Amino acid sequence: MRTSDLAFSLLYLLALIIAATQINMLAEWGSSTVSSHLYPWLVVGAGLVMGGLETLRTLFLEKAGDGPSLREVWAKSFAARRMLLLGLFVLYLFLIVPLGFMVATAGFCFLTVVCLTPRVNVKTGVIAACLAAGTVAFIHLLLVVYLEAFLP
Amino acid sequence: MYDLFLSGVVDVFQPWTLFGIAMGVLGGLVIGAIPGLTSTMAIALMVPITYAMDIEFAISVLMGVYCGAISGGLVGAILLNIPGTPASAATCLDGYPMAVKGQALRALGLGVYASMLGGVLSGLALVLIAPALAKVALSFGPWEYFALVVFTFTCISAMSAKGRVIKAFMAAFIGLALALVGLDEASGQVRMTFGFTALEAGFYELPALIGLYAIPQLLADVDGIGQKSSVLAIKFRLKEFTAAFWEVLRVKRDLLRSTVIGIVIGILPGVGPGLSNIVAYGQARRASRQPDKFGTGELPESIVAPEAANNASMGGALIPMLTLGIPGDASTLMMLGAFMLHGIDPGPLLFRDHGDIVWVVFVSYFVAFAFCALFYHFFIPITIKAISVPRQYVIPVLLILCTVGCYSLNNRMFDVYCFLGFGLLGYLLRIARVPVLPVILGLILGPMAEEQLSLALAFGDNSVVPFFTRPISGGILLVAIGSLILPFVLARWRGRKSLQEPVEVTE
Repeated sequence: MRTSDLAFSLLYLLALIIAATQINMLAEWGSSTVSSHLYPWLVVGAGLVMGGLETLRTLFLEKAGDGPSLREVWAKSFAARRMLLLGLFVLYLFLIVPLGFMVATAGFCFLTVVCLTPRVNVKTGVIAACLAAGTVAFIHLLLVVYLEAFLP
Repeated sequence: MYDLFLSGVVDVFQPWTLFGIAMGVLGGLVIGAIPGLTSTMAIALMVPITYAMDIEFAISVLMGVYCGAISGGLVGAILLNIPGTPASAATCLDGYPMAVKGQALRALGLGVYASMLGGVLSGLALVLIAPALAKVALSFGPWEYFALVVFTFTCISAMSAKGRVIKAFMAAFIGLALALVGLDEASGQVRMTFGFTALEAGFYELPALIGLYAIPQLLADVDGIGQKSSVLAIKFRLKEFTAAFWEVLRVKRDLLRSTVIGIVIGILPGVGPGLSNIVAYGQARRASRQPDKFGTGELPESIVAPEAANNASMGGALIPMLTLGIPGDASTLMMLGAFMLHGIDPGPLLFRDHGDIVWVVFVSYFVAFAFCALFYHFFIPITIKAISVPRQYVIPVLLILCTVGCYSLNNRMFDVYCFLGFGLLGYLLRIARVPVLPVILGLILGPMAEEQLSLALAFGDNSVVPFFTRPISGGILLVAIGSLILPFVLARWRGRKSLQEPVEVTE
């Protein structure tokens, strides 16, 4: 866990340093009593201190064997099935505009059920198709009829 | 007050509102019963749908979902040995062994009646404490509000698991930094948008809330696909189920103690039913004359204690949310989002300006518990079926509902992409074992902290001294500092004590 903790701390520090570069772009207004830099610097500065403390804690107090190893964390977090779902979901979100909400939703629902089911057979396909149709019908009722939303 | 109470009763006791609460409770029970799907997820799914509803109706439905989802967790804990929600984690310890012995209905009855009694008692505490606290909070100035935000973050960090205190603070600063994005109202400048015009309005809370909670949870739930779950088969007999009510009353001391624990933990910002059920179980064991029988599924108090505490936390968690605008737990954080979605900011002014809505919350809370009790008597087989639904059917539908919910807020795809972005951030935090709740609290409380700090400094000629010299503000900051230092001091003291005591070696 030590390596992943360190990686997270470094990523966190990097993100806050990028945020800090943006604070300097803010202009100071003479009429206001409180500086427009004050609160953002307070947040980013204190955040950087915390990031520094966590990095030191990980380096000096955490032992190399503490918790699961980076390989174990990696294997679990980026397991094939999880990444398959994430990939399908990201694809779905970016296909909503070109394909339309209903088609993309039906396709995502059907494909996800089929891909995630351990042993696929005809029954799985029928259930996936029914679920996709039911979900699309429900969304149509909810968004178009009830919420009167404009679907892409 | 009496007229507000009547107005609340009139608003809630409308046929459609009652139907909405009933459906909310039923939906909450089903979602809460499915292991891995929490009450927070249930409310997150519902909040966008309530956008087009009247606030009174929306709040009533959400109270139903909240109540149902917290209570629903016990079915999975007892029949499957997997808690439906973290709020029922301690219920597994004795609920499942009792069910295995052929006393599943007794275990379910004990859990249900303890939940209902704990919930109703904490509801009474909510009705009594919240208006009084709101009156006190009316005298709060910007110093006190800023101190409260500081207290909230120190409290969450102090309650974090060992070795994760700094990580909890880091998470809070991620949330606070994300809250900086967009227009700075005081100077009229845009901050941290990196040139993206869509970011000038800042991040909407709900896509962030839903993304941070739903996506990491659903990705993790994929691991459960294909795993055989053995739900214990039961034959429902109402008489056997109701007999547990008298058993719950026989352990009234445990019931009351756990209810108080639940309320107090619920009031503390950022921690809720997930912790209270474990603390209550531990205290019940400590107070018991037969502590060795805990974990064997023989004693009623071992189920009564965690279930009374987790439901009691609900009323407790609503107190700071309604009176101060500071959520008691993740679920009330979602409720806070629902209030904000309808243009209402919870806080002491809510009691003064929208007293009728406060009473809708109170009345619908009790009505939701009544429905919950009713459903448990007749619809337990439905919740048992819900546990058995394969995950591969649930996960895509929930992801789609979350997407639809985020889109319907403003009818724009940008919110959907934000939902995805926050989901990925949540997943990264999960991998790094960083708690997500402080991020969301930072995002929601960030604007309040900035505004109150600016006001306090402007009123006090840029001096920070009033933060410490004003009695309430100074007191809150003192408690905040104490909550950070005390766990370390206690841990050190315990460590030293255990070193002095002889160690008993057992095989």
